[in-house]
Amino acid sequence: MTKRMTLFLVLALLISSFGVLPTNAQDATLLIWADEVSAPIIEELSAPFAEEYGVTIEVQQIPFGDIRGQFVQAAPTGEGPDLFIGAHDWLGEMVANGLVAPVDLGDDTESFAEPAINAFTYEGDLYGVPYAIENVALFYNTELVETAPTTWDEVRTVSEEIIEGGAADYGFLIQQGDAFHFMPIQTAFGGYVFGLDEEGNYNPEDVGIDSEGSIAALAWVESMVDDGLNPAGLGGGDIESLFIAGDAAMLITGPWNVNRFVEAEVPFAIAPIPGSGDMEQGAPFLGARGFMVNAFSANPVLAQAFLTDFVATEEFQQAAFDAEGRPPAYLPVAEMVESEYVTALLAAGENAQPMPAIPAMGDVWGAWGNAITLVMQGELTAEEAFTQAAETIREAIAE
Amino acid sequence: MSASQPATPQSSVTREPARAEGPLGGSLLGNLLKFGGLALIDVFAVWFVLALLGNDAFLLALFAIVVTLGINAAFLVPGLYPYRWFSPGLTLMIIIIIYPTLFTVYVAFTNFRTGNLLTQPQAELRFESDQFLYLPEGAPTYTYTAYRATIEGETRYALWLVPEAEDGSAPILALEGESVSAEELDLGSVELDEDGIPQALPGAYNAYTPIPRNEILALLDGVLTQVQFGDDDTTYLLNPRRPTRQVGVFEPRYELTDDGAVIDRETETTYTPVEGTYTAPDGSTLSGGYYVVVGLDNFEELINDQSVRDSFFRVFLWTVAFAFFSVFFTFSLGLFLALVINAPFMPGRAVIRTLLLVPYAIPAFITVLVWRGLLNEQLGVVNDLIASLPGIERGPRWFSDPPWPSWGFCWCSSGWASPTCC
Repeated sequence: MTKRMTLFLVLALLISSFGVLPTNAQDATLLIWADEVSAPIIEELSAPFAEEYGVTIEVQQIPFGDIRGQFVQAAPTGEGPDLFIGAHDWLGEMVANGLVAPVDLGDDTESFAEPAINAFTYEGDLYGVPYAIENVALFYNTELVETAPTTWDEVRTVSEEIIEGGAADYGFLIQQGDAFHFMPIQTAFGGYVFGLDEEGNYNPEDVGIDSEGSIAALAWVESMVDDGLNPAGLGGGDIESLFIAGDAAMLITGPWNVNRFVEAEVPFAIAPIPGSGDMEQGAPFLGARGFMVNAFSANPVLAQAFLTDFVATEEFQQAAFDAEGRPPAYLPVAEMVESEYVTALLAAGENAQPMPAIPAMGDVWGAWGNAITLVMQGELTAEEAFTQAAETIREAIAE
Repeated sequence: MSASQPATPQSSVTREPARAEGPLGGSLLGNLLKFGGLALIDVFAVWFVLALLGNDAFLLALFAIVVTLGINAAFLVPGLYPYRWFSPGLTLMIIIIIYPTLFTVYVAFTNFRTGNLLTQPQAELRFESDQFLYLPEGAPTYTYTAYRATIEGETRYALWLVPEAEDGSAPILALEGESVSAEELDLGSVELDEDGIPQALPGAYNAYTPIPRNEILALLDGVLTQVQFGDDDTTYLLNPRRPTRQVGVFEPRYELTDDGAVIDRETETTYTPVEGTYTAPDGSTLSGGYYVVVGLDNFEELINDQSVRDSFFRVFLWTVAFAFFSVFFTFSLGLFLALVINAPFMPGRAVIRTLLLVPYAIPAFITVLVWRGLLNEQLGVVNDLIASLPGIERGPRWFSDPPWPSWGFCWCSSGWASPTCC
């Protein structure tokens, strides 16, 4: 019995040791994580590339919002992809944790829109190859609004006329507590989130949430709510539904809604964010999407070559635009765009500012959005809310 | 526990005398199945444990060992016979409940956070990787063409390097372990392409032929990045960021010291780990730190920092309250409904019972969306009804006015769908 058991255990150990022997044969395989829109394009376009260059490219489809969290978990253990698609504002977390590797486009950098390159630059290094940029703009129903308003005072007047005239239930609507969509109004009134340092990077020490312009912008929203022009408590989805139904005339949204509005046959046009006083137009946040390289990739050099020799080419960038419809980051493609919507979005994004990627952004979004909610709910005045929010944010950043 | 022993006293308790003869009793087929299955489990377990140890996951490896020994004991020790039937459940409980709980407790005593996410070996592995190179000041860079030869059965590589700086310096032929200036080569006999790149190498190197451009990519990692082109003094490396375009006299950027510090050779700064964060004497830090055990620091912060404390206890209390109320709500409503629709005086019982299945059949995801819409503060049906009541100006803001969000959420997530499942 004991003998048999020993034999049994020895055998088990022996067999299993074969499975553990290191198989370090390096093969030229790249694993890419991409969302459901870009995955098929990458798969299709990379097939001829892979064949020509004798490499294997695997594309794994993961919902865009899940890529960030899954990558942060998987990368350090070596289970992550070699390359992945992501938004530039993930960089703060990725770089602080050492999970992404810098990339270098050399002279090709000039083929990309400068804001997109700036967005993917963190502490002086470029960490991604962009393929799309996105920013919000003023969307308006052309049957309800003849010419797009150019100032926020005008937006208010137009809203009043629409509601009083009974053309629609609402004029301009903004969702409650959403700092991302509020930001262009804030900048239109001269407010800001973070000041810039000499190099043009965000300076987390200079919080502008309680600056005069920021408060003025929130006071404008406050008066819209107080005067019954913009009900509190609406979410982004509510506003979009109202706009599609023709019950609301104007809203701030981005390229992700263009196809939806077109399919719903809403008569709409896109205009730059209105300004105020000296400010000609409000500055929306700019988001950029692009490819990033896993710092723990088993094929780091091949991954870089894939970026310089495949992603940063007109062929790929054009196909990515054709499939996604987001404003392209690659200038030769952007110049050939014919869609009036994309052109208008690009125009609205001319003065866009990259969404800050500092690691404390989670706290910033929270405090900033809460302040807007409290004001729209009538709990606090604009000044009180933003003064408190700025304090919370300064504390969070100091930690 | 010996196979030759007759039934042990414990096994008679199980009243399974046929199987109580010890590990080798029973039919041949039964034994084959039992030991075959156990052998498979053990093979997998040994592989798994070794893989875990290779990844420095010691705690999980320990758990895997305990679980495996437990399974073996349950099958081989006659007295533990009943545990056979427990073993799958116990195994899953240990792996997916007890281990994560203990791991979470462990993490609470570390400084695991953004910036200190890696383990120390992971952090060090990263600094040693090929991708961190730097170009010392004044070091030359080149465009390159790669060549290959099979010499004595081994594949050898060579690079023809054309200086990027237009200072008139001659191209270089970099071979494994040595390099030759083009001026020392007799290029008269070889064919050059339009860029002046030789299509074959002259004289002693005539075995080398250019590698077609489309084969380069597959040779980057593990081949061209591993070959030492040039001698020890001047080593030519592929630019890891522009590997198909550029070669230079790059140097590894980071150097690990024996005491775990990292030297940035480009700036000649030493970064010493302080609680896992690589910190220079001037206070600047390198990204990619690792986490260390920091004892009670997190708990001190929880108690001493008011902003953390307030939100933590509020969330914690609500978590407890939510658990209680959702169970209470679900159970009491479910019991009430069960009693009512079973009561003989209740008319239309069959219809009501059928209708009660409706929420059960609708996915929770949709239920939550529908209820969100119904409870919408401005446009929802519920608030329209409430506002139409005399003397009430508006309904509660279900999702923003405390304490309503709590109740709104509680109802949406469990109150609606669950009672019928009870």
